[in-house]
Amino acid sequence: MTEPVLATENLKVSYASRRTGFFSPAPSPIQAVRGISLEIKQGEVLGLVGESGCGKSTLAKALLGLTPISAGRVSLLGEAFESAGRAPSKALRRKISMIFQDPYASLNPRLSAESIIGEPLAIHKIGNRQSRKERVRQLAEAVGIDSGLLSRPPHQFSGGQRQRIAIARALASNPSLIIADEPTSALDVSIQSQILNLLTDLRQQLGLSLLFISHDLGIVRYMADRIAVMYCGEIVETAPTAALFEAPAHPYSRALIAASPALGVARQERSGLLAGDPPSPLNPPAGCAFHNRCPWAQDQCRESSPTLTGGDHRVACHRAGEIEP
Amino acid sequence: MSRANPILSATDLEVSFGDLKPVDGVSLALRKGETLGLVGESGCGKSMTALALMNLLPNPGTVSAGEILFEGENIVAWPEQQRRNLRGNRIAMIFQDPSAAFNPVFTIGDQIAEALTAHDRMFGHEAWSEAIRLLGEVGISEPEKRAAAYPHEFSGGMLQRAMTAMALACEPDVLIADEPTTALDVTVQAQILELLEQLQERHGMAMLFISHNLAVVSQIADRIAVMYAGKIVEMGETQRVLAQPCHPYTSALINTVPKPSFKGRLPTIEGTVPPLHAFGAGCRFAGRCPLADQHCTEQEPALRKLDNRQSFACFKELSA
Amino acid sequence: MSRYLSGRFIQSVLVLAIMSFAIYGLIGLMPGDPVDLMISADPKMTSQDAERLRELYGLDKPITERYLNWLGAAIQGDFGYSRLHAAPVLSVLWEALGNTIKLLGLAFILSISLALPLGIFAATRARSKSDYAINFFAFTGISIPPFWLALLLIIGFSVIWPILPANAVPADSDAGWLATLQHLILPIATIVIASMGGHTRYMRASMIETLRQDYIRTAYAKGLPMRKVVLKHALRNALIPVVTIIALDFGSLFSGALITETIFSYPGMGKLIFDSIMGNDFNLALVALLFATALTLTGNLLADLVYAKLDPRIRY
Repeated sequence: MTEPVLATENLKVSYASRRTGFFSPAPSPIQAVRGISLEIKQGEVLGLVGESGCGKSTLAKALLGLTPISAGRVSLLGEAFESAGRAPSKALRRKISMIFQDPYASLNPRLSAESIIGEPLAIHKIGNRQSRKERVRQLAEAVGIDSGLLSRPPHQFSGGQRQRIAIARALASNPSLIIADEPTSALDVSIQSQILNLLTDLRQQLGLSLLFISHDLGIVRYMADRIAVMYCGEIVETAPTAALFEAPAHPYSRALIAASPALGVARQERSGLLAGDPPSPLNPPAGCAFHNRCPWAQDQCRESSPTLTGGDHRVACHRAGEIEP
Repeated sequence: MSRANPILSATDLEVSFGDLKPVDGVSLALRKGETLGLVGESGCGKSMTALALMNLLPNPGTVSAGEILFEGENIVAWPEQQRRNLRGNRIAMIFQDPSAAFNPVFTIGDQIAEALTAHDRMFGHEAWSEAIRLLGEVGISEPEKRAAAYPHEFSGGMLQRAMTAMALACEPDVLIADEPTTALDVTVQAQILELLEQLQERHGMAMLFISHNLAVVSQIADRIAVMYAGKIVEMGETQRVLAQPCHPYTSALINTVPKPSFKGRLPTIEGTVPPLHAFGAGCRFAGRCPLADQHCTEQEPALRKLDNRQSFACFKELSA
Repeated sequence: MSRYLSGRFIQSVLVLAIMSFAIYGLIGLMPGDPVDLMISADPKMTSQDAERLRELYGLDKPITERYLNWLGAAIQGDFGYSRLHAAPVLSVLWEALGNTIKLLGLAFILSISLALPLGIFAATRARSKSDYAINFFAFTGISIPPFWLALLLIIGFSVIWPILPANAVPADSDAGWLATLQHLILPIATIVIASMGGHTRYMRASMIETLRQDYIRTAYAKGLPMRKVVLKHALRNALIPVVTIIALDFGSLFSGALITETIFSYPGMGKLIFDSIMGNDFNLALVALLFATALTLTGNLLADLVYAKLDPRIRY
């Protein structure tokens, strides 16, 4: 059995919040990611869902080494990749890349499409000038960008085309894992499906693994083999896609699924609605982070934080077995 | 079924920015107690339509043709002073990004009270108390404390509720909601949709709900109008249109959203929306339509009725 | 907030202390000392006299010792004696300061009162003819060197068409306030024209930026008339960066009108600092410069405080 492409062990990421003045005491750090252990198998698409403030973008950045890790470890392809105080290993960095949400902000407006796509090759010193040019042409073709357009700057491309360029760039260094952070949220629905098809094709052709982050449950359901649900810096449930939607075990997962509008499906009765707002990482609730919005909360939920337990379908809930579907 | 007269309607509305026409012949009707969903992708002209109804078009946009009837009178020709009497008073609007929609230097209570004083409904202390009551009505807890707080102290969901309270302050006959939930989290979105429905039931106003998200619109709209490139291509009862779309664009729009348990290749719409000035004589969707033929590129189809519940603008008959 | 203020106060004292040492050192490094000036004024002085004078004034001691002596006296409130004016430093300073406040205070208020409305007007009619006209005048004001402008005004209104006096202080010290005002017209005009351009541009830019914000659209959507939207909703927000810039400007205003003061022979702070440095009047130069520093620091602090008052998102 091959090892997972990516594995994290109790990953924690915090960053300091600003001091208000020269003489004010240093405020307590913000814990954006509070102990995440997840695994992505080779060739698998893991969907990561959660609302604003849950830490999913911070997690993505930490996995890439854009944000330092406060505790825990990350291993890539079975080898230690990064840990607290230790930057990601340079040799392995080319094996992981990212596609960002905003195709209008993630491409350098001063570079040509060709330079953008070729940049990872130049950074990791892959091949020579000739071979890089050829590779860029291949990548552009693979994502559906006419190679005659490669000399143009980003603003001459449409949103969908820019996202294709971003995908080509992510593929340049031949990664084993691509993190896609809301890759279609900023695109129109008709373009969205083109991009999703492209990602699916590439995944099949190249055997890519994907960490697919999105707030849109419908898209995640379509793209992902497994789904992890994130709330307030922690994973509260992971399951194979079908299992999650058929029988969501965590109260938050249920609320999320119930709240997601689906075509032709009438909205759930009022009792399914979640009150309140998603928690801010500045002030996480004590005990189980969800207890103050959970219709099934009990005393133990206020006091202690549940851990993620289970086999294929894992839940972090004190009352996991007791709640009726 | 007999339907009341519309309180606000647009007939062959055209909006021009110089030579460009982002809205090119749109007709729709809003009735009390009913929600019309206006759906379309970016650039289709749905927001411009809403702004035209409010007379809030940014410079140099103007309504170049068509009528807007409010209670039977054509208000397009009205002077700005009269339009202003309607704005925020009889016809109100809420916008997409609630965190940017409030003035950061004034309290929420002040800004809501201002909606009342602007139309001479109430003043001073009375307006403030009413603002508090409105905040309570939209589901904000501790409204007295909240009214004295500033926008940056509110979450996105709460701000959208506050904006709704502000829009409803003068008990308008029509509420226009332009992508009110797009910037919000899914669970908060569900709360806001719920709130809007409740408020409509309670106040009996007409609602125009604009969104690019078909699924969201289907949750709240009684009738739906699909816009493409400045024109309405299909219109009718929501569930009917979604179950049985007649226009190829509507059908494609519905199909590109992955259904639960669907795992195959997603259908796509080839190409992209052509720029506004590139339209010729025929149907605007012809360049991307799988059913298009020569006739489609020469003549523009008008909206025709399938029956009383649905109309569409296409020469073809879509098979189910 | 009190924590913030005490922090700022301590910072200011530190800055002043460091500045005092730096200025003292720099002035001391300049060639020549007051006794040299005395020698050039009185050729009959012998080198022995010079020696004795130096010893008397303590000018033969090393600079650090002289600085510490000065500091010791200063802390107790004794800022020394001005050689040039033959009077205690503080009294000389007060008088010059009063004059500067009169001139610059008036000019400042006038400049702001004209610039802000002009900027708002230009912003609401951006890219129209009136906007271009206002921009043109603003740029002219920014581009013209103040001394050239001053000379032009003097030539125009005191020589060719002699209706206004060219000096800023009436010769007759008992002249009424009307005469005093008449004498101030040209210097004030110079300063106002020079600074108004910048203020107008800041206001216009800030207002244009503010008018693009979503909450302005909301205000219109509520049915508010344009005047209210601009003057109530937009202005308060647009003022925030403008007030900051103006408050910072304010601090430097006190020492910066040197050229204008010289041309119009106006005994203000700028002229004072200049004369005292050129005349090697250590005591006066040092204290005057420190005072200018303190005023700049106050201007900065005022800017931050007003900023916090206008914008509820800022809390110290």
